[in-house]
Amino acid sequence: MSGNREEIIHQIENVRYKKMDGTLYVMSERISWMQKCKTGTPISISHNYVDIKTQKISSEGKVKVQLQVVLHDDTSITFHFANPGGPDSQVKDRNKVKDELAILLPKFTQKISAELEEKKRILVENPHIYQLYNDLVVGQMISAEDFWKNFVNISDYKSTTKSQLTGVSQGFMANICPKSDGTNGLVYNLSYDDKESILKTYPAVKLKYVQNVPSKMSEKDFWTKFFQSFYFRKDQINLAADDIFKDCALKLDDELKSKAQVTLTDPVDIIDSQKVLSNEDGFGLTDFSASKTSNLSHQNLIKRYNYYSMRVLSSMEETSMKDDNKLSKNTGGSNKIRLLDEEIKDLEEDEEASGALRGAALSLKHVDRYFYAPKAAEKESITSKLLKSKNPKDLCERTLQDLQNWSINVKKVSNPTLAISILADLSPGSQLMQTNNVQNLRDEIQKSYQDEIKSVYISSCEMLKTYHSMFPPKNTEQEMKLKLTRDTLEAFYQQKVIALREQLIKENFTWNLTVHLENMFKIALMKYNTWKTKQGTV
Amino acid sequence: MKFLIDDLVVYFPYDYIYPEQYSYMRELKMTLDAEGHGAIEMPSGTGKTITLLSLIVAYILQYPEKLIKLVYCSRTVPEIEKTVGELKRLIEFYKKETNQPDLKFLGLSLSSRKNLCINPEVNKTNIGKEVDNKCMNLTASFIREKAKSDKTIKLCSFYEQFESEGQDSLIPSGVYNLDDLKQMGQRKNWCPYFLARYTMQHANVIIYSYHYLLDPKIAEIVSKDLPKQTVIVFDEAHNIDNVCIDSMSLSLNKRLLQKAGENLETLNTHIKKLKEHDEEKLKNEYKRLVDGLKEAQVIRETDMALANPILPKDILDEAVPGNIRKAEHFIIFMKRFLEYVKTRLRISHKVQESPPSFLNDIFSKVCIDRKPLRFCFERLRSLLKSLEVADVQNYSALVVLANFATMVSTYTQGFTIIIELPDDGRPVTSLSSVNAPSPVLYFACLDASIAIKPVFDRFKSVIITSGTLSPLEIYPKLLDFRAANMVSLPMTLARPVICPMIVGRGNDQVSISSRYETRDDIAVIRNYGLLVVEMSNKVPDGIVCFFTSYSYMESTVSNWYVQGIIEQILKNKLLFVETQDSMETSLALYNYTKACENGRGAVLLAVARGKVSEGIDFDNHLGRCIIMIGIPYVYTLSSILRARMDFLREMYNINESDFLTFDAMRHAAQCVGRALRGKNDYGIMCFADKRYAKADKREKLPKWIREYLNDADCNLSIEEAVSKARKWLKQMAQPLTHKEQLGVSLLNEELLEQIRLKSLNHDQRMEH
Repeated sequence: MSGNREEIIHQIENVRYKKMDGTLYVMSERISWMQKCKTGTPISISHNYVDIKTQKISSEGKVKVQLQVVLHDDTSITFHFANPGGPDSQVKDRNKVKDELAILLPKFTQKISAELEEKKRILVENPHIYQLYNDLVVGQMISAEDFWKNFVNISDYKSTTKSQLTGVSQGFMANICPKSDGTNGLVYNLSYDDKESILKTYPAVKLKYVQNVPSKMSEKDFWTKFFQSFYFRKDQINLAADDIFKDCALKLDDELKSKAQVTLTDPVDIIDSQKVLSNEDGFGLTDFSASKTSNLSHQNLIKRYNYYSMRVLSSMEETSMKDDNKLSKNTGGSNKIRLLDEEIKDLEEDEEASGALRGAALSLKHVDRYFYAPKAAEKESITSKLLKSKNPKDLCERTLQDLQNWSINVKKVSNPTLAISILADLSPGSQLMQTNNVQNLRDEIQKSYQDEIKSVYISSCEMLKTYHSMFPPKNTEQEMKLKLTRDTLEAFYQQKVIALREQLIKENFTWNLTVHLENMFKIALMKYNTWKTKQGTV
Repeated sequence: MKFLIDDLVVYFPYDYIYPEQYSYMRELKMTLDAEGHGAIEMPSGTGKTITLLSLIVAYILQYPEKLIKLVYCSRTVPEIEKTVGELKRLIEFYKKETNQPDLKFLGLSLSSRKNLCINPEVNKTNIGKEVDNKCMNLTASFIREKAKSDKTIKLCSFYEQFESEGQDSLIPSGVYNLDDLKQMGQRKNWCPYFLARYTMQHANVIIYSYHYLLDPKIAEIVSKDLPKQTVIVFDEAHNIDNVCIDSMSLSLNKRLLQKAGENLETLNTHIKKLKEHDEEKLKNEYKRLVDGLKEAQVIRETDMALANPILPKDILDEAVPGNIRKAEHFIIFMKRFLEYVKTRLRISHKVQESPPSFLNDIFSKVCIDRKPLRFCFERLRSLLKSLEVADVQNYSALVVLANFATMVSTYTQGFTIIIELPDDGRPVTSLSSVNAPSPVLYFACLDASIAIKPVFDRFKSVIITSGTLSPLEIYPKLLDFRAANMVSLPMTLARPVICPMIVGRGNDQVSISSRYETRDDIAVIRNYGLLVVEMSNKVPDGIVCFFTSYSYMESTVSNWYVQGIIEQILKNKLLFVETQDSMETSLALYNYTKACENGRGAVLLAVARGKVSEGIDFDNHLGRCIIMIGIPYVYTLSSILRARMDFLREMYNINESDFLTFDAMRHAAQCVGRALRGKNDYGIMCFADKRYAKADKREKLPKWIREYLNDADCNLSIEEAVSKARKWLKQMAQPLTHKEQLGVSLLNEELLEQIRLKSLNHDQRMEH
């Protein structure tokens, strides 16, 4: 049974599906039902939570106790709870399932929507990927799933800007308004957000909440007490002795003080800095009456609002700070991995190129290699080295050695005057470049073609980039992936590039504009073939 | 840039200058040429500091025979630091422009030991008094004397190092702020505080707090040696009269008197002990006093804890009278005086009398004559020195008492004695005797000119300047000086960056006002609340509301709570409130800034005359709108204020209501002025009281605010005010380019030269 591998949260006997008796399993990622029969293969159904849109239950008074699961494609499956223990136990069974699903389902919907969001964002933010997506998926060369698996590494495009967390709305207390319940009481309707806001804003209350709910009182009682208590009373001085929030009020002062010490680390405190010289006692007209004239309850009210505003402000900060830490850790980790990738990529590049990276002048021996792609034959030495040694460290060292020994090959450099004259000859309009009409090319070709060539180029480059980065595959899974990519590449070549070429030929352009493109594809495909043959020999 | 003002070459370390800065310099130059005092008003945020500095520094450098020194007095440490920063910039510019990398120019700032001490033992505590005390314990002359023989006595190594080498070598020229001084101290192991004090003597520019000049207790020690050719600048001087009065006033209560009594007891035991061991010392002291030698010892600068209040010169020439010459006699004398004051504190109703009648009474009741009283302070100082008391700070209560004795017998004019219960007007009978507030004796200075008179007399030029100094005419009257130049400069602006308006009524047409009769009216309070709610709905970022007093704010807030207005405000913005607790207020301010910066926006409720209104700038988004709720009249039933107003009426012929309105309006202007701290800044100034529209109030607003206040905006309803604010905010939110400002509110060298030539031509034509 496949259920063995995952955790079964609830297992409920006596559940009927289409009038067949069976057992319902609620598991961590899916819900399944299996027919109870002694002979033959039992019928079983199973649905991932991801596929489930919602659940419905039969109303209280109905004879049958049922639970319906509606999928995203609007098909629904109804389970009938038929516990022989009577309707009460049936309802109990049902509620067990219902409650569990109520917790599990939102998690999965969130996950799926978050993923979709992420993908959408990537497409919107990266036009070249969008182009590729259009060509491949919309052009029905590969499925969307394959596309995301093979061509886009989602983690590469993780948004670097950290998502902002919403703080607490400053007016939330105003939104919690009591309604009269018709008699002498008041009814507060608290939404989940409201509760969260209150707990976030008043850490002291949160502490009480953790202490008391649900061990000492129910959640409802807690909130009732809360609203009866000081936060909704104007004066906090006269609290009933049994008020559980009594010490919260007392703590408020301490908290303000400690907060002040934490935040106002600046030795020149904002206010006190005004007094350059503190007047000694008795000098000056000290107003002895100042502190006594005001009303204590008014002061408490003011203190409360200062505190409230401060908390609302910092509620946002705290979460974002926590998040910061998490985020930095994450990015730190992935950075490391990415760095390693790049090192290996670097190694794969030929020596000249890595020389160029070191800041030396770029000297291209084989210009065509720069324009197209490293030829497999040339690459052989390093790839084979890698294959043979299987020790990247060793290879690293060797490459470094090579780099150190590398020097500019002065002999092959032509003398400056000659170089300048050649350069002059090669510049547009000069001796050698008179026949050149690149300038006119832009005007010659229609805008629509230009755009099309551009888009094909973008997609091709993106694909080829992925393709080349897959070499060399290290296990069968990667090989599979590589093969798929190659096939896609070929399909793309056939469908798009060839089509483009034909179209251009039809338009009678003197220039063959797709040569470069075709070459790139040819080399890529050849690379695969050489790898394949080598695979056979190794 | 570099330009000419008459024949004076002024270097200005910026590429552009505001037209008003240029005119400010001209006015300032005229004042300096006339060698007289001046009062100049220029709106905040137009760069007063750099204007003052660059002109005066140019003057000092060009005419060293006329002017030697600049003393720049500011109010707070941050302001002092800012000023030093500007001066640094200016001097750098000078060096570059004149090609004199070794320009001889020394500028420094001075602050208390608390801000300058680098001895880790001493500056552990952050309380000014304790630092002073600890410092004196390590550096007082007699302790150092003792330490020569007794190696166990601890001294401050920084001070010793400075004593032995610092005094001979001058610090290199340059500009030093507090941190620079500290760093220098660390490097050379010199005490930065005494280094600054010592360097003051040959510095060209000194930047410090008002108190060093106005408080006679400190001025005597710190600022005694300033030469006559010094120009004194009081920046942010709109409250200078109150600073003067405060520095000359005393207040005594029961607790303080008790402490003074304890001090006397400890002194007595000290004397007895000393008598047994070392009678010689006391005899010497007696002898000295007989000889009338005031201070045989050279007063070391470290013994500054006890300085003289301003005394008429003749006292210093007289000998201490016989009946207090002996230490024991003096103690007994003081005890008697103390007991007398204690009996005077036992009152059931307010008592007010003049110093002469107080002296008469004391003579008839306990036979204390005026003459020995005058010497109390001197005698105590001498005694404390003889007894080698190190923890002088612990005797502060006794010092206050002695000070009182000396001052009450010295000044017959301009002071009053008020003994009253602090909570005037409240029924006290119901409270138990323990909780009953103890009566307080105020020895109140009524005449602001007493403290500042020596400054005006001694120095060539004194400049009083601020962003809000209107009406200017009243300051010479209050401070009793003849002004050579008084001018209020407007602000030149490329666009109307302030939007003053007077909101006189609510949407229900009920007129709003903080008048005593209507301030408790529910409708008025609700209208004020609605104004704040509406504004918080439309104005972005920060809004500051100023109330007239703490008690009014508290009762209003609690009413708003009942009316549900607070919740409505909270829907729009966060709410912070200034309280009397400075820590709490600092925290609220910190959070207010944060809320404005992260975009939530906040409303700050503060109090006019409070700490926020005096020292905190709400520039740019921190204060897009200032709402003045009511007119911040001072609490008129206070007996000290009553006495002062009577005095002003009699002596200077200043009408009572004139003074009150002046005082209220300068505070209102100060509050709303917080919003505008520069030319790119903008803010709404909302005066929410019907009475602001009256001519006598409006006229007393600074000119630069008045210019933008149309007649049409003088009695708006809340609705109208909000719609006006919206329109104006949209206009202001448009980007402002440099080009628009050039020529209108900005001048470069070229334009300046044109202006100068034009005015020259004009003058010539006038001559013809």
